[in-house]
Amino acid sequence: MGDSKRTAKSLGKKFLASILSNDENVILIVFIVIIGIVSAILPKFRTSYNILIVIRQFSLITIVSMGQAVVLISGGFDLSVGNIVALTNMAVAYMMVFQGWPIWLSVILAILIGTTCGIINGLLVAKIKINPLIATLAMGWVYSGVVLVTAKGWPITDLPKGFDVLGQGYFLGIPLPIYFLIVIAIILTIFLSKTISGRYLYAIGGSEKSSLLAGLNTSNLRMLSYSICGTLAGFSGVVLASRMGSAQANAGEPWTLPTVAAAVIGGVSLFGGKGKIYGVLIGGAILGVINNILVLMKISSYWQTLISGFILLFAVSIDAIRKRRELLI
Amino acid sequence: MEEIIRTENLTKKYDTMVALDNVSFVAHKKEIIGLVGDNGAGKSTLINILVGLFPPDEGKIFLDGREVRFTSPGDARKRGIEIVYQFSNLIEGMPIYKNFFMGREIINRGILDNKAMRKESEYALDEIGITKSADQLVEELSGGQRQAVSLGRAFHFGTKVLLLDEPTTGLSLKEVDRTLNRIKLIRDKANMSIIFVTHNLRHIMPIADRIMVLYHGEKVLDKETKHTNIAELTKMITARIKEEEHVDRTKYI
Repeated sequence: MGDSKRTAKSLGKKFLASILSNDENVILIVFIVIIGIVSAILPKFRTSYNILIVIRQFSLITIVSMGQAVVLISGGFDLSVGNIVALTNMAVAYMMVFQGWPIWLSVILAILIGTTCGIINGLLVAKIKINPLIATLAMGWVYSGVVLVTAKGWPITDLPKGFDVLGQGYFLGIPLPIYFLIVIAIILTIFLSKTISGRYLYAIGGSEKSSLLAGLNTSNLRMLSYSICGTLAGFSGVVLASRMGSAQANAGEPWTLPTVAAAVIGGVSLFGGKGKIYGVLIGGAILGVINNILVLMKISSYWQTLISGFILLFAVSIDAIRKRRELLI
Repeated sequence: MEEIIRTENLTKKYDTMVALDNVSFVAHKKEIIGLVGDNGAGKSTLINILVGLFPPDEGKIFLDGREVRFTSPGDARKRGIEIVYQFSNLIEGMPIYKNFFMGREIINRGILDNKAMRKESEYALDEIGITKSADQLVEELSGGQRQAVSLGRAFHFGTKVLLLDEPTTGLSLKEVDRTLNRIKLIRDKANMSIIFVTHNLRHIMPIADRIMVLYHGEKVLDKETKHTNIAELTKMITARIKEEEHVDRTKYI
């Protein structure tokens, strides 16, 4: 009897250790704890109406975070995602309103503009070998510059009817952006875990030299990661224009660092080679919930910026500690 | 013995410095060549050329009797040349089986067949006496175990020329012993030629069939191990003999 109790206890310990050894599981537990505490303190939080609002709000930024995660996993960094969102946000509106092009064509072209921005970033980083932080920061300014020069800082309104479905439509009572988030998360999860290119992105992030010696085309893979990120930022820019019913020259620009925070909170390493999409989903959800708590508690938006800065700092510190622990093993 | 790889007059210069000076050698099947020399002797330049990291300025490489030019490490690897570096060329955050099949994945209906790769890598490692779970992360392995995985990988995929760059550096005495035994085992079991780069003559002497010494980019000795000894090799490495023969090393400067 004593032996079986001891065995059960040791099995329980092993099970707990295996759960806690996984970064994504730990972050999921933290998320559940946050939800539990907030639901108890703020009854408004747990209403289905509020929950849908929270999910809809963080869905677009989390889609961009997933793109950022792909770049981070491959050992890169993209500081231009917010600017790409702004560029494609304006581009889709410009094509529909000023050029009179059909909605479907404008949407596809705007997303392709995002892909092109990603390819340009990838070329600078992978082929010309510019430091990713500098290359994407500089290109971010270029993308913003294009928007400002073209629209002269004015918003574009009077978007055509039918376009609003993307960002404001519902299916079975759930906003469409939530479906987009789920579908993109599934596709990226399959891509990263089941395909050769996905595995190679982890490899080049883990060790570029080893990957090169294994015969991998590290430059092309790096370009692939940036183009995926650009495409997702482009898509989010388009849906954001639809949700807002207008396009703004600075829409999405403040998203850049939160996308990094969501990815890192979700277990993606800033040092490359590690991370999972479902972790990014949880990371994005945590940021969304914290934002919502601040709104529900009527805390000023100035404080929200301050708190977001601390969250980012906290996330990268955790990542640095995690890395140091690995080096000590 | 059947020839696998041969070089003719390989030369490499970095600006005015001659890193490799007309180096010719032949490596045969089931042969371990010890490549020794002091820092800056040209060992790394030679193996980096052989593994396709950069081309020689002059000279030729023949693989199985045919002249080859490697455009990249991937190209060299496809033709059967693999390198194992001092600090391992595995990706630390990945499990053994993913590393084992890196660049040679098994695909089933367009999707990675992880199950088959796990099974095959465990079987292949077992063949050279390594019993490890294929799911274990490389970062959890000791230096010797990492070298073992790299050696097992080269063995399993029928590598023709295996380049070992200081594979015993930083290992414990026990691990050095194990690694040397594995290298011998691979030499005996596979039809490959092994070029073992090291500073440590005591590690290479017991297992090498032949020793080659480089000094300032030149090959100054190429002898069967049984016809040389540590004293002679030390002299050649430090170039006491060569200096007496007078080599004008300023000719390229």
